[in-house]
Amino acid sequence: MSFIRRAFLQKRVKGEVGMTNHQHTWRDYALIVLPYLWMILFFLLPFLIIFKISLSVSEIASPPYSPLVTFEDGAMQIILHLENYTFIFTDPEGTYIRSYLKSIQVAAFSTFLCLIIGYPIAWALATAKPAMRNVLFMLVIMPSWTSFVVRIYAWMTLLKRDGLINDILMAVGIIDHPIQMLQTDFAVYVGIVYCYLPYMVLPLFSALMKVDYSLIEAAYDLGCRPIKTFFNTLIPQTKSGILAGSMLVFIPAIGEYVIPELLGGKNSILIGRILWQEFFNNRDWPLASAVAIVMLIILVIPILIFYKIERKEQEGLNARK
Amino acid sequence: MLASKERNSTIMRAVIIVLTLIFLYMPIGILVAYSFNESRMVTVWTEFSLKWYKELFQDAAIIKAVGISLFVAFFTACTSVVIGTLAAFVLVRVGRFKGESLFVLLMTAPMVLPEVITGLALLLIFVTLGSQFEFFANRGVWAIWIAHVTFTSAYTTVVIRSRFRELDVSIEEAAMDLGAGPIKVFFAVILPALMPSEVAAFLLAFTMSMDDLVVTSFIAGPDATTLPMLIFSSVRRGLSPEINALATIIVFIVSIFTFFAWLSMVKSQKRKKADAAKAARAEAVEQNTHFMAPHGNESIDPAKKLSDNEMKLLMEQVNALKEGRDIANEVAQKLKSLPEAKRHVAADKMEVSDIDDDETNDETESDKSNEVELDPGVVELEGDGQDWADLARKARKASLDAYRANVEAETREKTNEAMISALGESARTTTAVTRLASTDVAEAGKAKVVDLESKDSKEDTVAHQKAHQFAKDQAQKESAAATKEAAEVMISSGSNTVSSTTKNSISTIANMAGIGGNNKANQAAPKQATTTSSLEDAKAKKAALKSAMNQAIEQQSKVTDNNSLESSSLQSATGGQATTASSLALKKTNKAPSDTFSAKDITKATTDQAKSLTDKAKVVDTTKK
Repeated sequence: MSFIRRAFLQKRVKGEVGMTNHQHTWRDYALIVLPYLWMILFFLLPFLIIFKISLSVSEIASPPYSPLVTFEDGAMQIILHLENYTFIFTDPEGTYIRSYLKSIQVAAFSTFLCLIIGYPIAWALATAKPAMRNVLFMLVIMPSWTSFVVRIYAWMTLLKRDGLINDILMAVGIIDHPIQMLQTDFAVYVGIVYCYLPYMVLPLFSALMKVDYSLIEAAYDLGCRPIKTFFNTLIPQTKSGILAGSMLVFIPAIGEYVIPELLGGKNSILIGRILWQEFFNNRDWPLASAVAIVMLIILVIPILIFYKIERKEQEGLNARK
Repeated sequence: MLASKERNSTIMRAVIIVLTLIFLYMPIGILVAYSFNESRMVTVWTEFSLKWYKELFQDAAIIKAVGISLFVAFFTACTSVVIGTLAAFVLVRVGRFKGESLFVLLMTAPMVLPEVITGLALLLIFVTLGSQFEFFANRGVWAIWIAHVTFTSAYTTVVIRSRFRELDVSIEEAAMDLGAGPIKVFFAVILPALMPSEVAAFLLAFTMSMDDLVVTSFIAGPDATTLPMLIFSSVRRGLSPEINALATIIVFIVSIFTFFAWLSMVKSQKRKKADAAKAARAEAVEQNTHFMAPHGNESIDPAKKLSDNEMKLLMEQVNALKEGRDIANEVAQKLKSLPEAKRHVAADKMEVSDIDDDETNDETESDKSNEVELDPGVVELEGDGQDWADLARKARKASLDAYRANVEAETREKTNEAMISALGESARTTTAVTRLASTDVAEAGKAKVVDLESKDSKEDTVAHQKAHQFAKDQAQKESAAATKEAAEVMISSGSNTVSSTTKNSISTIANMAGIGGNNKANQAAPKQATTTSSLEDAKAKKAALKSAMNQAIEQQSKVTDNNSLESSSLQSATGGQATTASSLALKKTNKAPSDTFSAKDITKATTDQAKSLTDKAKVVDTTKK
C-alpha cells in the first residue's frame, strides 16, 4: 500500500488529530529528509554555533575567535567565556542595554502604528467588491516586491532637508525653515511602517475576510455604539490576524538594520546596528554572537506566539478537511 | 438610515484606499520621476533626460551585480520551490511524525527572525564548515544560494501548503485506483494542480532573493556583490540619480509581473467560478437522473456534444416546455378562481370518500400486496407480469433516452439557460397547479358525482368539519377516490369530449417523452372512449401499471383498450416528465373546457396519489372477483 494512500486513510480514520507516527515507512522519511536536513544543517545548527562562539573571546586570527575546545598536553580543555554576556549587561556606557530597550520601544511603537494604519486598510480591502479587491490587493502588495533598499532610498529623497516634503510644507507656509526629518526617529518609524505595512495588512486581511459581518449588524440592531461594536465583535474575531501581523512586524523590526542605518540618526542605535557594527567594524564575532543570543532570548516569546498561531492555523485547516 | 450607513462606509473605504495608495506610491512615483531628471541633484528638477539610464547601462559593476543577483535568484527559486513542495507535502499529507513540531518551527522561524540573526547564523555555519570543506570556504554565489534557499523555503512552503490543502484527495485516490504509482500520481495529478502556487512560490522566492540585503551582506565574500548590496553601499555614500534609474527599471519589471499575476489571479478566479457552476449543474443533473430512473446506472456525460439535428430537436422541446409552462400558469390562474364556488360542495364529498375509505380498510390483504407492488423498480406482477416487466424496462430506457437528450441539451450554451429556467418554472408552476388541481379538481369531480346522485342531505356544518379533517388526514385517498369517481362518471357518460381530451392528453404525454407512441395512443384512445363498461378491469390494470412505477411512454402505445386512459395518467407519474407532461396535459385539457376537470383529474390526481389509486383499484379488483 502506498504511503500516500495510507496518509489519506489515516487522515480519514483519525481525522488528523492524535495521529501517531509509527506507521510511516522509509518513503515518508525520504520526502521529509531533504527539507528537514536542509533546515537543520543551515538553520538550527548555525544557532548552536552562534551560541558556541558567543562563549569564546575575540582573537586576531582566522576565524577571529578563540577555540572553545583546545588540546594542551594531550588533555582536552574546554574554556567557556562568559565575558561577552557580562560585558553586554555591565558595559559602563550602557550602550547595549540602551539599544535593546530602544529596539523594543521602536519595534513596539511601529507595530502599533502598523496596526492602526493597517487595520482600516485591511478592512477596506476585505469589504471591497471582489473584482475591486483583487486590484487593490495587488496594488497594496506591489511595493513590497520592489527592492527594499530602493524603498528606503525613496524616503530619503522625500525626507531630506531639501526634500519634497520640506519643500511643500515651506511652500504652503506651515514652516519657514526646513525641519530635520531624515536621521531622526520619526524617519525610522516612517521607514518601518512603510516597509512592514504589507506584513500587517495580509494577516489582518485574511482574518477580516472570515469575519461574520452579521454579528456587527446584530450589534448595531441591538443599539451597540460603533466603537463598542468594533471592540466587541470585530477585534475578537480578528484576534489571530492581529497577533500574527503584530509578530510579523515586531520580530523583524527588533533586529532591523537597514532602516535605522539609512534613515535614522545617531540616536537611532538599534540592536541590529550594534550587531552589525560589532561584526563588521569591530570584527568581534563572539560579542556579536552574544548580542544575537540575547536578542533571541528577548524574541523567544513573540516567536513562540507566532509559532502557536501558525500551528493552530495548520491544525485548524487540517481538522476542517 | 441603513442606506446612509452603507454610503458612509463606502466613502470611508474610498478615502482609506486613496490615502493608502498615496502613501505607498508617492515615494516610488517621485523616485521614478527624478530618474528622468537632468540634474545630479536628486531633489531639484531641471529638465528631462535619459542620461542616467545611459550611465547605468555603462556601469560594469552594476551589470555584474545584476547578473549575480539574477543567477542566485533563479537557482534559489528553483531549489526553494522543490523544498517548499516537499515540506508542504509532508505537512499536509503525511501527518504527524517524529520531530514534526521542530520541523514546523524550523519552517516558521525564518519568516520572522531578524535578518541580522539569520545572516550571522548562516555565516558562522559557513565559516565552520569552511574549515572542513573547501566548497563553503570561498563564500561565493553558491553560499549565497544556500543562504537564500534557507530563508525563502519557509515562504514557499507556506504558499504551496495553502494550495495543497485545497486539493481534492479523491482525484489522487482515483488515479491510484486506476493503477498509478505514488510518483506518477504526484507528477500527473498533484503537481499540475499545484502549478499556480508553484509559480507564485517561485516568483516570491525569486523576488526575495533578488531583494535580500542583510543576509547576503553577511554571507557574501568580496567577489560576490549582489545588486542590493551595491545599491546599499551607493546609497550610503549619498543620493545618486543612477539609483533612481535603476529603481525605475526595477519598478517597471515588478509592475509588469504584478500585472500578469493579477491577470492570472482573475482568470483562475473566473475558472473557479465556472467550475463551481459546472459542478452545481452536474449535481443537479445527477439528482434529476436519479429522479428519472432510480435504478438507471447509465452515466450521462454532460460534456458530450450534440449534433445540429439533436440540437434542433432539443430546442423544440425546450420551446414546448416553455409553452407548457405558460399554459400551466394560465390554468393555475383559472383554477385559483374556481375553488371558491365549489368549496361548499366539498362537504358533500365526505360521503363518497368515507365509503371508499371503508372499503379500502376492509381489504387489508390487497393493501399488503399493493405495498409490494409499489416498491419502485421491483416488477413483480401477477398474470401478465412478464410483459409488464418487459414494458417497464423498455419504458425506463425510453424515458432515460429522452432524459439524456435533455441533459445533453443542458450542457449546450444556447439551451442552457432556457432549459433550466423553463424546467424550473414549469416544475414550480405545475407543482402548484397539481396541488390545486388535485384538490379542486377532486372537488369538482365529486361535485359531479354528487350532482348525479343528488341525495346527500348531511348537515352542512358537520360535513364541513369532516371535510376539513378529511382533507388534512386523508388527502391522498380523498383525491384518489375523487379521481375514480370522476373517471367513472366520465366513462359511464361516455361522452365524446372525454375521449377527445383524454386522447389529447395521452398524445401530448407521448410527445413530450419523445417517443413515437402517439399514433398508437391515438388509435387506442378512441376505442377507450367508447368503452363504458369494465371500469373494474381498467382499475386492475392500472394497479399493475402503477406498481411498475418506472413505466413510461412506450408502454402507452401497447396498452390495449380501456387501459390507455389509466396508463396515460400513469405516464405522468412515471418520473422526470411528470411535471412537463402534466403541464402539457393541462394545456390540452384547457382547450376542451367542458371536461377540463375530469381529464385533468385523471392526469393530476393520479400523479400525486398513485398509491391510493392503486388501493382503490385493488379494492375494485377484489370486489369484482
